[in-house]
Amino acid sequence: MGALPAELAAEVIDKHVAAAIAAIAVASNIDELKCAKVEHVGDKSPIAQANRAIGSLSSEHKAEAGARVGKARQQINAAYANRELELERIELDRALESERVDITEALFTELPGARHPISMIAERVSDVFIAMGWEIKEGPELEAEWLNFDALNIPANHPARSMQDTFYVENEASHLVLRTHTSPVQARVMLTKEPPIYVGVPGKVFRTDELDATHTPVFHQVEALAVDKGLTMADLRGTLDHFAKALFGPHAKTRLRPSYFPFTEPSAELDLWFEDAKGGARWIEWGGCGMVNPAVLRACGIDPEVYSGFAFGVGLERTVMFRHTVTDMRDLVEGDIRFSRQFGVDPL
Amino acid sequence: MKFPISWLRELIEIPANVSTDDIGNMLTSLSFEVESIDVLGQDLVGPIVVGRILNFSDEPQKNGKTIRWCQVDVGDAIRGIVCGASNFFEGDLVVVALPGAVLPGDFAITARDTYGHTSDGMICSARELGMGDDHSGILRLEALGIDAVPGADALSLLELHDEVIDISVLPDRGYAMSMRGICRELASVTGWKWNDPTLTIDSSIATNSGAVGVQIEDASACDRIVIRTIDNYSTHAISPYWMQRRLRLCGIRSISLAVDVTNYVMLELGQPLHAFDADKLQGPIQVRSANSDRTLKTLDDVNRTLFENDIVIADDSGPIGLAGTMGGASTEITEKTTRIALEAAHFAPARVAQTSRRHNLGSEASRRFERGVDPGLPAVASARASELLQQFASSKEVGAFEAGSIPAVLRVLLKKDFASRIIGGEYTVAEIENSLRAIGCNVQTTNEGFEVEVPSWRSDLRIENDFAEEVARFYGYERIAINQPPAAFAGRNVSIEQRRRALNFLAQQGLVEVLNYPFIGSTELDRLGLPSSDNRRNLVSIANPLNSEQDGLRTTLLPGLLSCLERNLGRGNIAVPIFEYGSVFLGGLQPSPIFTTETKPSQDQITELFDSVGSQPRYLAAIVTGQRGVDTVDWSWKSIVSLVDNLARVLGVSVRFEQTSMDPWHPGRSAAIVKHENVIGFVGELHPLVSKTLGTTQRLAAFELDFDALITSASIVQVQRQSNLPFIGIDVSLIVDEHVNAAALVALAKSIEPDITERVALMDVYRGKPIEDGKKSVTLSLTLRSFERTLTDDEAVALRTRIVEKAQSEFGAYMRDVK
Repeated sequence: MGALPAELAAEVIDKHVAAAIAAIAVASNIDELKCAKVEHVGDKSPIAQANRAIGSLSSEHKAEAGARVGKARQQINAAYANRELELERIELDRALESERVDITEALFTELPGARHPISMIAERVSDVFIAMGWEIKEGPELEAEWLNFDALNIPANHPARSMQDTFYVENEASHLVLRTHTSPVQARVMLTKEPPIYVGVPGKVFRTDELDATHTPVFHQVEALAVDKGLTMADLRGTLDHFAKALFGPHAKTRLRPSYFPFTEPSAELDLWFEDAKGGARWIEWGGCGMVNPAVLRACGIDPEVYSGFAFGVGLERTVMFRHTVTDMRDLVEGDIRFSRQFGVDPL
Repeated sequence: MKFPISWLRELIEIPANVSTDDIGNMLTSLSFEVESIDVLGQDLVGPIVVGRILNFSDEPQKNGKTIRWCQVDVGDAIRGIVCGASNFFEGDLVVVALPGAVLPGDFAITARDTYGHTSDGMICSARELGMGDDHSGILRLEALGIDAVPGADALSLLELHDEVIDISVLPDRGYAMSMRGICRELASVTGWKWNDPTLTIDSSIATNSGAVGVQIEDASACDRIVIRTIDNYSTHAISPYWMQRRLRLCGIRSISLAVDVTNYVMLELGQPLHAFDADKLQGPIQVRSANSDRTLKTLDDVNRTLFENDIVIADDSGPIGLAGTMGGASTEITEKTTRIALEAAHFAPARVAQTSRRHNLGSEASRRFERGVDPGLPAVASARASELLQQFASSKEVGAFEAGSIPAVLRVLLKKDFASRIIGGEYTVAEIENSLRAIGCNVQTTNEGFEVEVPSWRSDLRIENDFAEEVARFYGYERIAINQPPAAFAGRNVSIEQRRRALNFLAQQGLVEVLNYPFIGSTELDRLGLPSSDNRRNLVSIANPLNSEQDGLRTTLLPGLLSCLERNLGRGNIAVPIFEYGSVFLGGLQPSPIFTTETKPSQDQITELFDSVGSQPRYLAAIVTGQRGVDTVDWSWKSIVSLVDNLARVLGVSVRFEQTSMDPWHPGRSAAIVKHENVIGFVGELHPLVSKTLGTTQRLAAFELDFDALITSASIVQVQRQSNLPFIGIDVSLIVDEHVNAAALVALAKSIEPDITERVALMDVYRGKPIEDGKKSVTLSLTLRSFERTLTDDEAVALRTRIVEKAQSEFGAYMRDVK
């Protein structure tokens, strides 16, 4: 049994491996790395030569030498693969660095749009009604005088019917008006539907006031009408409290004060306890409410001996003004996009 | 209605620890909302005393003024005071602010050197004492009917410290528009003792042939009138100071004793009265409708044209007063009057309201009659006035006549459970009795419920609900229980949901929602360049517009958006993307019927009512202009068309666009929006002449569509399965004339093998070399895929060939060379 040739000795192979790993480690780019690979594991490399020498060995040495050279190749290839990954990563990093941008440029490509605060509060209010199981109804803005006044127990000589308050369409004899409140929709609902009725009515209304910081001839209301068996003022109060909390948070509550409206009896002014009021929590005059006057039920074909109902209404401009600290009505009317953009698409 | 708290405290025993603010809160919770509480005299600081003018000398000054150098007895001394006024005489009693006093406006009085004298105080005008606006001269106590000793404290003498409460009285609570009414309201909830001035008045009617007679000719105008005739009225009599003061603090000017007395009794008891000069009357007084009488000169010297339905007070000469509103000039009280006819009546509230409105003439009297005056008052109130005239003018009542009668007492039966049925919660029989008695009702309780006799002054109490309100008010609205009724319906409404999605989508795309007034006029339509035949010029008119230039209702949202755009541009907003959703008014109006309200209108009548308002569809429109941001395209015809297309897709609606030319749109850059073969709107660029009217050269892109029509028949989406077999992508570039629409080519490409043509996209449109002028190259990218089998490249190429052939025959297209 002869000795291993010197070129296959463990020390010699180890030296080749060490040299190859060192060359791979110092390669600073893929090209240098490839050169190092050719030099240390290519056809002319000492490792390749050592491998070729194995063929002439006796079978007892073949296995030992083969394992040694194979392991050497594995070590070198592993080092190569690791270094290749490292270098690719370095080159990718370099390439990405060259793609660096100014992210803030993107911030100015499009100004945000916005909904009008009145539309949004109307939708928010509608959502509260829908969540209570109520329906949302709308009606025409140019309305029959009978529905706007007579059916609501507002007699012919009532001040609200004068041309100082109401816009008449074409002429007074046409008996058509721009509705002065959303209440004619109540009459429309009662004329066309049997109780139980639970409806919320948002909409645009008109009065002959000149535009100034606190008035506008075109404004918006939302009102509620419930007609069912056994409804009382207790139901009105409960609904109002719920309504207030849904819109203004858990601290909100409502207070009623005796008042007069032709279409309700008893009637009440509706005050809201507004926790977030500027300058401290306080009561705010919010709207009107009451039990539907039996005369209104009768005009709409509902038997007041069987059914009773309650109604309430609030002004949306007023609601937006105290909710969002809007101090001048003109801001809600003029459509200056700088004003509305503060609200965005669906704010709190 | 406003009144001094001192008068209230005189009439009702208010405990000392109850403040004016407390009374205000009570009144508010009783429905009389406090508008203000004015504290009087808080900026007056003494010494302010009574002085007597001993003598004075008029001294002309270089500046043209004449001053008076006065010697004034102020009790403990005689002081020299310079005065600029000259409306007084030696011996007059005046009010002097002594050094150390402070007058309103932080005006501190000192002894000061002026016009060559040391003025040791100041003689005051009424205004300087906070007693009204009179600054024409100094205040003479004689004119107020006051006698006093020099040196007396003028602050207490003139009662300059007080508080005035101003409350608003609701239309159904006319009975409370008097001191007596307010006392009654407060006493009902507090039980405080009060002194009803009517209890000690002798209200009997002593007829006498020397007295002025009266008759009612129109019973629907007046159900009760009393005329008392007063003789020996002293023309020199003046109203006592306390009466003048109370009138002033209640907001009524003092005129003469006779007029002041009528106003004072109205404030005290609530009954408007009128005083005629009896010597100027011709024959007895009549109450009737104006009928054919046409004119009347009222006390304010205005000649008024009467309406047939006006209630007038007349004598043989014709109308001498507008009943319940204002007296006539011909029988006015003057300084020569010695005989007075006092009128106290109960007129029909609705007719007084009409008269006051028609003549634009609201008075203290008409405000009370409209809200309802106690028909039981005429005899007693006129007697009270007669008594005051006797006391202060040494006059005497000759006699009186009456016509009509006090209406019968109204009795109402209330069901036992009426209060809890309307208010909720529990109110015991005793509670209900107590509350109704407290407001003046007589109550008998039976097995069925309550038999209630309504007091004459409560014309507002008629039905169960009215009494329920009184019970609730008496025990306070805060006692009402709280309950939330369950509603049985789900409230989702598809069209409202669709609208919200659409509007939110536009806002998310960068547009800002605006809400414009619906009022427009022909000027705005001229600005759009609409021809005279255009339907949008048929505006529904407003009878009483705020602005005669805008006397119609909009038929299009564009004018409002343009004005809003103009306002935004004017304020320096350069990129302005705005949109609006709202009603337009397209006419089709019918005279609207007025039905009875006693019963429900019939089905036909309801249809007639609902149809009378014509067509009012809801439109959606936008105008966009300016740059959208860095490195992005401006708002343009392209972005707006794409926006509308995407909007329809968001809503699940299919629309197409047909290029047209139509006012006010750019003839080559606009299209009709078509849904189911109906034109529902327009989109594109507005005509440059429209932007020129705004004074801008910026191009305006816009759309306007009938939103109701857009969303009708939007249905729940039904999906199709998609094939997962391999696909083939293939492009085709076609050279066509400029006028050929890209959408038409896409449709053509889709139409040949629709079963395998999954998608056709517009890849590119190229103009320029080597394409000849007037033509463009349109590149389509097709995705082909079958449900049954894997397609071959040969099939794809064959399809492309067929597309080119069809495009050639339909549009004269040819295929661009493929490299």
